[in-house]
Amino acid sequence: MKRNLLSRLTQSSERSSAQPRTLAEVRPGRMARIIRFSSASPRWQERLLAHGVAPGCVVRVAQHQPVTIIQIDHTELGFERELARAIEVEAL
Amino acid sequence: MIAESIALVGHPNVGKSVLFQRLTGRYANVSNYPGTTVEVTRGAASFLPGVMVIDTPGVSSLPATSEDEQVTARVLLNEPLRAILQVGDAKNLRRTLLLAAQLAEMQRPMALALNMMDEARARGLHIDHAALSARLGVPVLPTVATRGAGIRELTHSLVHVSAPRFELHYPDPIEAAAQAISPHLPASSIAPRALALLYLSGDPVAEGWIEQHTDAQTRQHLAEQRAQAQRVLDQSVAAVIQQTRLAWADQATADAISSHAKADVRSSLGASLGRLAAHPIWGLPILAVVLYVMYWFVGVFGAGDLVGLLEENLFGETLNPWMTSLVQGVLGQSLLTDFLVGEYGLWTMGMTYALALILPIVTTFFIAFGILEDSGYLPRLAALTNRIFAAIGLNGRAVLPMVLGLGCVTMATMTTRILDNKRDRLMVTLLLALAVPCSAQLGVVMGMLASVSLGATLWWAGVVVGVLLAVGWLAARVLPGERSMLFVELPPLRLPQVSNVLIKTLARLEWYIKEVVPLFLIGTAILFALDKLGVLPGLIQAGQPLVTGWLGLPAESSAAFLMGFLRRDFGATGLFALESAGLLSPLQIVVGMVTITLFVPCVASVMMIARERGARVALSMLALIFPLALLVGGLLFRLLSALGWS
Ligand SMILES: Nc1nc2c(ncn2[C@@H]2O[C@H](COP(=O)(O)OP(=O)(O)O)[C@@H](O)[C@H]2O)c(=O)[nH]1
Repeated sequence: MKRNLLSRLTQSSERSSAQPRTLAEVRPGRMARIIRFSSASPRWQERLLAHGVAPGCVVRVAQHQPVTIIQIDHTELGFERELARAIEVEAL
Repeated sequence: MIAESIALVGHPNVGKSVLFQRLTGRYANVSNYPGTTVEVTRGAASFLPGVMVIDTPGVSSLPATSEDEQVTARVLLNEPLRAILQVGDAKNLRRTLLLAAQLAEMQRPMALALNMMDEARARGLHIDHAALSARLGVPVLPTVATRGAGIRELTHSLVHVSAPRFELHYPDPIEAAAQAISPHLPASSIAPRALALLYLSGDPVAEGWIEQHTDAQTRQHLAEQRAQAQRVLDQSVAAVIQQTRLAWADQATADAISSHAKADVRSSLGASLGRLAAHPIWGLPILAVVLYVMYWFVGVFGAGDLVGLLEENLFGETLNPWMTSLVQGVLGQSLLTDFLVGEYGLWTMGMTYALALILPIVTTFFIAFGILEDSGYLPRLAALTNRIFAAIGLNGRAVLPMVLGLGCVTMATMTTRILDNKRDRLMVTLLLALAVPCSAQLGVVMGMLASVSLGATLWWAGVVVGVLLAVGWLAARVLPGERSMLFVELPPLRLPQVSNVLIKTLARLEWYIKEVVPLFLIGTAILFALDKLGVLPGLIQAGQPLVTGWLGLPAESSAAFLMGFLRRDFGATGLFALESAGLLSPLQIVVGMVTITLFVPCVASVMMIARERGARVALSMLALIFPLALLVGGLLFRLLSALGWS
């Protein structure tokens, strides 16, 4: 219960922030450039790299609910928001 | 002599299996890769006599992170390969080249098929494949597998392929380690440098292979080299290697691709539909329609109409009487006659069950599954239901086995193979065995509960779902390993290919007949033996005190419970007979139905669990499920009595 509330609070602050710092804060429809993977475990980093998601590349966020969906090149990837929070980005 | 083979390797969903059909004849053999539960398809190459084609499970890259990827790594390391045929998605060139670089480094004869060229062209992409070919040192050929375009050129180049001399230059610590390691590695089917890189990036298959082929001292040396490289890098070795390849792929892509109209993915119809299907709001009605149509096709048409036709009409009225009189005519009244066509006869019970009751359900399910698979809807289904399964420590991929469980738990247990890891498979297997009623049983349960009251149905559903959630929640905490997050690629929605769906369905059915039907026969034989040895009545009697005292049910229902284990729908039917005779009160019906639902599905499902998860796991599950079902039933009896039910 408590955790739910917490995550809801952080979610709303994620939405309102003007300068997104992680992929989870990028508004649907916007583009962002990936800077680095912060706390993502090596296993997830490798998964992302294998799909061509690497520092320096530009992705478009399609949605965050029920899962985060991003578009890179001509592929769409879906993953949980927790992973999106571990990807640091700069807005474009 | 072992036939040489050509291995199809590539990302999931790039058209490997369609291409496989184009490269092989009619007949494909689907089997489990030795020691795993991963399916691998093999067939004879139609253009090269004596050569086999292997369709490997999809990989995103190595090091392998899933069982599927491990199988592909094993094929690359262990099979006598004549050539590697990488199948790539032309519109995702960068990612395709990332894998191509890794495969070309293995320096086996190789070709790259840039498939889905039609989709790439529709997006305005023009690819200079000659430039790519020069860069990689392997033939690169555009194909459209679904239309058969480019296949002739592809087969032609496969006949003559030679090994590329492809190498990338990695950051110094990695180069140093790779050069120090390579000379110590025993000869494998891939270049020593490639094996060294796999080992450095921590690939479990490469590690296992090296473990088998080197002595402890060498291994120590290798491990030291790897640790040293890791010490001076600020990212994991695997990530650094992968980024080097990605930089190469970026450059190669930029040089080879020219896009005319900057057509976006968003513009195509399939992509827009795909977007809708994963949409947080619009996705739900689409999901409801898909699940309903699937339920109708498998649950109503397959499990209802087709089963009725086959079981009652064909088997019940025609085949079985004919078979019985035939066997009796030949063998007279003997034990063997009983064994074949008696109450627990191999034919009258085992084959009838396998062919008339289960076959229609699995056939319709496989067709529905094949359509969902081929259309690209499956990952969206997983995305939409992810939340629900996250609550019990799973991810959205679990939706398929759980839904199939409502058809046949035995088959559903088998499909847990599509899950990412052992932990998830174990959890879903347990939940299926415990709390998911199969179609045969569901019909009887719903019928009986409806005859009592809506309240009774709600109590039943509430308790069963409650147990499902509670056990899932607990299992997620007790079982070792973390919940694996959902990570899926969402391909554009496509119109499913009839031939692809049919061929996959046929291959899976062949598999069902060869591997699952025998389980039903063995189950029947066990039953027959128990019956003839007079163990059944003894068991029924032994269970009586528990059934009457603890569950508060009439003594006669003990038999129904035993039958329920042997065939879950029999159990419910047994209770149904008691109810019709007016022997059961509403309270007893609810308690009986809950307990029967929680019981293990049937003998065949227990054997399936044993086959997929091992005998020890199967026994532990029985040891958990029987007492738990009785406990919940007994508690419910007391709770409802206290609430004034009778
Ligand atoms: N447009 C197009 N679709 C294709 C092509 N090849 C395969 N497909 C479709 O892509 C989907 C995935 O193909 P499949 O062979 O099952 O992929 P696999 O997972 O790599 O075996 C199916 O719907 C195929 O019909 C192609 O060249 N062009």
